Amino acid sequence: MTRVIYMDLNRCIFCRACEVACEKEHNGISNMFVQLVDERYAVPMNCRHCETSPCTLVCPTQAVHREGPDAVIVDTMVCIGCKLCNLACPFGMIWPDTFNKVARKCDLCIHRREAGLDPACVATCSARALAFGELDDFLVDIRKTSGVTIIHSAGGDSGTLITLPGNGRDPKTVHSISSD
Amino acid sequence: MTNPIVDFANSDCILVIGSNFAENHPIVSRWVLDAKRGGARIIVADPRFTPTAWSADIFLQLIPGSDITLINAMMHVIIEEGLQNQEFINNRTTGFEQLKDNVRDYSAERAEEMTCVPAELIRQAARAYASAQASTIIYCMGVTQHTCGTETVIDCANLAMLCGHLGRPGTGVNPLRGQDNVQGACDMGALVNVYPGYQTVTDPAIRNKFASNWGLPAESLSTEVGLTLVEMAHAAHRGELKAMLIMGENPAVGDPNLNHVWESLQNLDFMAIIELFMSETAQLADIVLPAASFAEKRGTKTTTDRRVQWFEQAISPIAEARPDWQIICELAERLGLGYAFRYQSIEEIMLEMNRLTPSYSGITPERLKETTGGIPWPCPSIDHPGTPILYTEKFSKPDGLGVFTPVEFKLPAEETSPEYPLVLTTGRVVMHFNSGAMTRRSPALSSREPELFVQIHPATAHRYAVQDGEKAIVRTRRGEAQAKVRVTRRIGEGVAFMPFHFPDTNILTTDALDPRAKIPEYKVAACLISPAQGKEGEQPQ
Repeated sequence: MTRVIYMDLNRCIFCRACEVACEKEHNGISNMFVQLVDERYAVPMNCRHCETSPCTLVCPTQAVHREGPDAVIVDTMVCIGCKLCNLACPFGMIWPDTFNKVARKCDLCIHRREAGLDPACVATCSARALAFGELDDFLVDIRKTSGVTIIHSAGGDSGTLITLPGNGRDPKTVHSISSD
Repeated sequence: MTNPIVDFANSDCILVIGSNFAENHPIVSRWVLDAKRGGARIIVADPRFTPTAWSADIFLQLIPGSDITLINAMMHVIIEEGLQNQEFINNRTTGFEQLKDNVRDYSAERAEEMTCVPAELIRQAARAYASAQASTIIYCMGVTQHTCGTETVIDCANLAMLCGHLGRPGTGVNPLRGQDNVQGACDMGALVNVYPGYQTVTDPAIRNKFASNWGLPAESLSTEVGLTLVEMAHAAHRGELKAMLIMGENPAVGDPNLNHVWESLQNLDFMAIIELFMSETAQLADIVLPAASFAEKRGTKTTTDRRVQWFEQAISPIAEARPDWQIICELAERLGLGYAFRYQSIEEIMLEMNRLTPSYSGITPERLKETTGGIPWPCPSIDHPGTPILYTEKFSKPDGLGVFTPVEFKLPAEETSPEYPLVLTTGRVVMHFNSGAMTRRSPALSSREPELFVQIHPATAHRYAVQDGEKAIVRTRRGEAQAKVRVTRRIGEGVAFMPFHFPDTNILTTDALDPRAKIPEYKVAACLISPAQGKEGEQPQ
């Protein structure tokens, strides 16, 4: 199973503590980038660790490679600084460290995971916008929550039939089927 | 706070007024967002559309200083529509009729004129707050840092009592304290008018209790109320205050009307400071005593929700640094008062607190060391579990009843004029802490927020011919400061916002005080903004 960093986009408050935590774990270099959108949404962006990762495909020296089931990492001793991975990444999440002339990216805090800890960005997130775990578990949670939301927004109570949107009727209409 | 922070998650409606907790208390967001996930409605009243307001179902963009009008208008709507909790009012309060008379004049329409918040939104907010099962109020410095700060806090309590949103999970009136352990400092009597546990200094019986415990003659302890921070600056300016011992404070950046403060500090005969860093104030001091940081000492801290927690030392103090309590004891020794300060350990000091501070009586060092998460006061005895929620059955009045105290709208001390047409309001950003004495030293933080800025609406920028990203001069009746312009629609027209973590902001702010709490009006000053002459780095023409 693959463990991922899950971002709850409703919860990020743009405090950027994840960036600072990442910097602390990686010798002053942050691989976390919180993007402010329309001055009212914040998206904590880091490497998606793609299953078919364009960065590993274009790397001429296999410096960028998959390590274990979870992470795509850069072996900076093998990296030649050609920047092809920077061009290939659709998310802009590999960037050139022009001082050391190597590619930099999120390593999913490999050293922390080996010690049984969550990645630093996740551990530090005050608003719990970030979480680390099995993707399937997150999806189960989302299904549960959206199920509850559907029922509650339709005013669901025991003995009522819920009418969902899309059949031409007012979605809020609730027909009682209790027998009295 | 009447209720714990985690209890926000149990609210059905959260009214946030004068707090930008997403930036200033990010951890609070966790519980507020949990409440929202469970279906709670969030109302945010702020002059700016802050990250806190992102999660708001109802956003009330009021003009700075108009909070009382907004709250009174909400109460007007609640009473008009009969949404008040009459059972709670009858059983637990007095003075409802006076409140009713007082808010009669505050219709939503009149409030719209005074606050710039649409009347319909005021009505929606009032209905949402009043009709939810459990509503809570979160407030912070946006409410208190005004000359009418005390009245606004009273009005928050009026609103909560009107709807019976007190004394139950998910309810309450919850001020978020601005600093780690500032609650503890106040509890311990680091205020001008009280001994530990808010026991008044003017009461001779209380004075005698403390004097006998400390082995001092009673008359050696004053029964007069002392000077507050800003009053000290004024007294030093007049030459009446000669010497200061400053600890954990950076008045040369943090106090209002800084040009005046600098003159005051320089007018002192002697100043000693107990500090971690060579702050702007430390640079003016005659003697700097190096203090231990949080990691180099042990003891207790009391959080904003009244929880007393034990913490252990992580590392030995570096170089000559010492914990504050040891510095104070050593100073007392040198002053010939060592006999009253014979403490051997933090535990011994804590046991004295248990003896002299009724609300801390049962919070012993032994218990604290075993209690993860701490114990919330009041905790009157060793077998008492602590009190996470206040006022569950009665209020702290002799008859146990809450008193409705009508308050009227009051204009800020300084109003805009043709010469100073904009309202300047100050506050914090997520990257910095207070005067920046610590955070401006952190490259990780200061690289993300490196310099003083002024946030204004595009129309304001256009009118005063200043450009986004360029330097501007912000001027008030007290002085001027240079700041980088940030043009944004997050702020209303006619309002300018500056963070106070940088040395120049408080040159601009006013030292007009709330007559009771003596808090300065950091949130409202009249200002003018104009382009800085010459490009960055060049001398002004």
